[in-house]
Amino acid sequence: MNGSKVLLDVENLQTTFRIRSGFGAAGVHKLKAVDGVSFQVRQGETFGLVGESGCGKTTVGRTILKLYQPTEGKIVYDGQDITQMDQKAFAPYRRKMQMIFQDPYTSLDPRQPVSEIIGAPLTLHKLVSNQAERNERVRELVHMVGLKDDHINRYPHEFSGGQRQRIGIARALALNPEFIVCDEPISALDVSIQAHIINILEDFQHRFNLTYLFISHDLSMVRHISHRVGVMYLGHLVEVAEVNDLYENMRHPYTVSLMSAAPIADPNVARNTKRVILQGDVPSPINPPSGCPFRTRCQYADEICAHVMPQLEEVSKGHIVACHHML
Amino acid sequence: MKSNRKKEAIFQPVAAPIYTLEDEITDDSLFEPLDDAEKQTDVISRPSLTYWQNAWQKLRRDPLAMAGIVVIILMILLAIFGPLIQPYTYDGQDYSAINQTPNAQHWFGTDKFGRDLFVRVAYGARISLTVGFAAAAINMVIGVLYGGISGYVGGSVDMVMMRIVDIISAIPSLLIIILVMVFLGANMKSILIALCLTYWIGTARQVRGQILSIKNQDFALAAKVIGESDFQILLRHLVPNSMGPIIVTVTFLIPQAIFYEAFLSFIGIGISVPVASWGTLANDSLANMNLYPHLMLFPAVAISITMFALNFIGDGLRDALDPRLKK
Amino acid sequence: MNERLLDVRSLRTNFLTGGGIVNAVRGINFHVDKGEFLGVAGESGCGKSVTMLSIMRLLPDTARVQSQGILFDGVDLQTQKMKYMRSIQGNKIGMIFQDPMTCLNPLYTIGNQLMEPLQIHKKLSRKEARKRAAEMLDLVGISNPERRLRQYPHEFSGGMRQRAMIAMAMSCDPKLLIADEPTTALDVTIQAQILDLMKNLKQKFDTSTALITHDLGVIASVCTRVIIMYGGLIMEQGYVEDIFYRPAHPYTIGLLKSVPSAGERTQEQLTPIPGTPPDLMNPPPGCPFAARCSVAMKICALAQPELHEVGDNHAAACWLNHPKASHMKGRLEV
Repeated sequence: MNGSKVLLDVENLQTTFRIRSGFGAAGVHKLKAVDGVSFQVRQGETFGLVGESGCGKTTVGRTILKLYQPTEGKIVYDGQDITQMDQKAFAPYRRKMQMIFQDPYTSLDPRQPVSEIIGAPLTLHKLVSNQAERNERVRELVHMVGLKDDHINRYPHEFSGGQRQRIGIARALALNPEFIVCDEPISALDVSIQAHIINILEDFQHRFNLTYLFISHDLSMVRHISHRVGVMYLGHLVEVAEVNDLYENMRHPYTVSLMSAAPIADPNVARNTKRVILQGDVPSPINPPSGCPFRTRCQYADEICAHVMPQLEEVSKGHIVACHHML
Repeated sequence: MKSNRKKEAIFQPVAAPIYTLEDEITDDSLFEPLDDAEKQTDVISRPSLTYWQNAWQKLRRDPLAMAGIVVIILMILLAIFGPLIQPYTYDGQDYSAINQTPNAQHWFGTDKFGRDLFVRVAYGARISLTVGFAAAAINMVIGVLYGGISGYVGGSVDMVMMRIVDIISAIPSLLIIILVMVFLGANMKSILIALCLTYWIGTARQVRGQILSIKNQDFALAAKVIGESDFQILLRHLVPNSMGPIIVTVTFLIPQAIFYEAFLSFIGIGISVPVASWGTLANDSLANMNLYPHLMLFPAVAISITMFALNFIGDGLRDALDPRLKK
Repeated sequence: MNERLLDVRSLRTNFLTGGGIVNAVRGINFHVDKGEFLGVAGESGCGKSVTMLSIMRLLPDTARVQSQGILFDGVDLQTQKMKYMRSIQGNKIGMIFQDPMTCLNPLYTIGNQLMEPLQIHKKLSRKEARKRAAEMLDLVGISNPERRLRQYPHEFSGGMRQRAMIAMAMSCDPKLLIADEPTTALDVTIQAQILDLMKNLKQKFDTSTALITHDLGVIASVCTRVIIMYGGLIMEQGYVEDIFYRPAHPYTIGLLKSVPSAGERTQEQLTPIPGTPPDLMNPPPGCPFAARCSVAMKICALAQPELHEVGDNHAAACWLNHPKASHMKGRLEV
């Protein structure tokens, strides 16, 4: 993967939401959901983005797809700066950049049959010229994700979660995209179904040379599917590395505690490993702590962490960490 | 006891298993691997039901709503064919037969000009039902568009549009209606205009609320990701998904409109004589109510059962279309 | 033989729906021993939550429950009136649910809600209840309990709300604690805190606990015994080591294999269980898992086998345990 070109380059991305909780200007709070995130995704690779809820990982994915407008920073896709493009100029990129959603129960319009859900993007981008062609392509897509002809005219509520997610994948694939943001695509699914979805995603990656931004809180799945992984905390990227490098040489205290908190389906391992149990909760992004965002829960935190925000630095090839006391 | 019997009925008795692990099973073929063809998975055994089919199934099981529908259908038939099955016209006067009580020639009797009350009530049904359904339909269109745009666009557009709504609703609607009637003259067209000027407010507010609650759902985002324009998202996804509650509101608008028409006619600024609406009929009978109560009875009963029927239908629809009761 | 705290026989639960009758729980026998940490695992729709709610009679009106006995602490719950059930809910049996926000009333302070069961069930005075409530909050690791008692649920974070729920459930010193997916809505680091807390409380009070979850990792880290459910039936039950290291049912094996192992990143594909769970409105006559099972036999589609002892307190409901099925056992990859 090292040789392939950089498909997506995110530089110092910032997305701020304005939250109203009162009257006038004093009632408007700024919530920095994403605060200065930079990373690159190469063509054909899967970049995993992990973190807890509220860390901004979903916002990163949605900002890249221009569902939110970034307040600062640059998003360069395939050499083109798409940050300031309006919806019209961005239209051709919609075809290339797609998304798979977390909740298969809310991401499919309950009033539309599968044929319409998968067929609409085809008509919209004029990839088919007539109804027969469209039907043919819908059938092909439905078969690709392992569903049957019988399913084409049914409605989302008739399907199980896993089947719905496959419909969501078929919709994303309908436009022959290059890049797909997979926003927690398996977290709402049962364990036995998760592996199936992951296998489908991996299979399509090989077949169509897809590039994924895989957002998840499930560290074992991220490890399984990703080539490189970024760890986010409170809007900041705290560590990025090649997957094996990251899982074997964690340098950021947060990465360590995140890994150690993940439940392992093996009683002996689960009981005999010493866990680092973090105290307290994630601070509110409306009022983040000064300096290092993690310092309020970090066992190594000291004076400097409260004053100076640690910068990302490269500790070994391709492994970057932002911490004053890296392990 | 009664509830107990009901409980028993839904449990099929447990049949003794055909085979148990303790049995000597002589048929070796039973232990051959199951063919893939016999492993029917991913098959949906339930019949495919759309949202509306499902709602209809529920509505069909509601006796009051079904009775309401039957009554309304009978009313519509009366309105269309009622005046035809009697040889009289609504304004044909016959001084040889004035103030008759119900008899074989005049089923509902006659009024002081010898006009046949049955024909006049049937004719009144035409006017009342037309006013009711037309007002509701026009209000639905205006309300859905206004509320939909206000809710979806949001921000300052929403702010301005909703303040306009507030202003209109601050003026007593009866005042507006009476002014319009006085200004445009007493006929059906002006009743419709008067009702439409004020009635859409409620629908618009409700549609806006609906749209607000679903516009951030994933399927709306998904539509944006595949490149649908805002207007397409509104019309193809948001409006169809809020249609259930809207239809319930509109169903309740019909009896309200009928009531308003009857009320306006009753106080003498609605449809004017000799054209018969239920309200004018009731008004006409007022002077001689002590002597000829049937003149009041028939139009009053017609209004009442229509109102009952429409309210029952509305209640039934509300239960049938309630998303919370849907699994 | 351990003493049984809860013993459930032939429990069946049906739901009346618009489209027909859903057989959510289809005749299961199980028990919770005194002082054990039982895990009930299975995928969504397998009947694990419905089982517990049936016992507690907390299901909606559309549900019908039938059983041949629900013995709790020597009393057959199914013959008791609703009034008795209310007197043990939150008293002898504590409950924690997935989403604490739906169980906490946003209009009352945490203190009010913690004190209420104490005043009702334990007949404590307001002052005593307040003192006990503060102790409970302290016990579940909420600092500054006096101040916290005066706060409202929305002022608590997700993890703290779950802690408050646990405090509420434990405050009357229950004999049985039922935890229905208590950590599913929480982040991993918070989940670790809550599991740690539950384990500590379990040791401290020796309360029997039934933990319902879909996450085998959670089971592995806290439970002593496990019940695996599928399609409204128990597929396998046994001690946690047996289930994880010597699984005897193809479904359990499939579940364990569909989780990536804690090894290196490999190009190897995961082994999913193909297909989807059965529709319980129309459950198959045979084993519900037959359609997705790699070693299914003809007999599996015809009849559901009973639970069969394969070891000490370890039982599986699978036709592979029939003497004639030995030829298929080899095909099962553990």
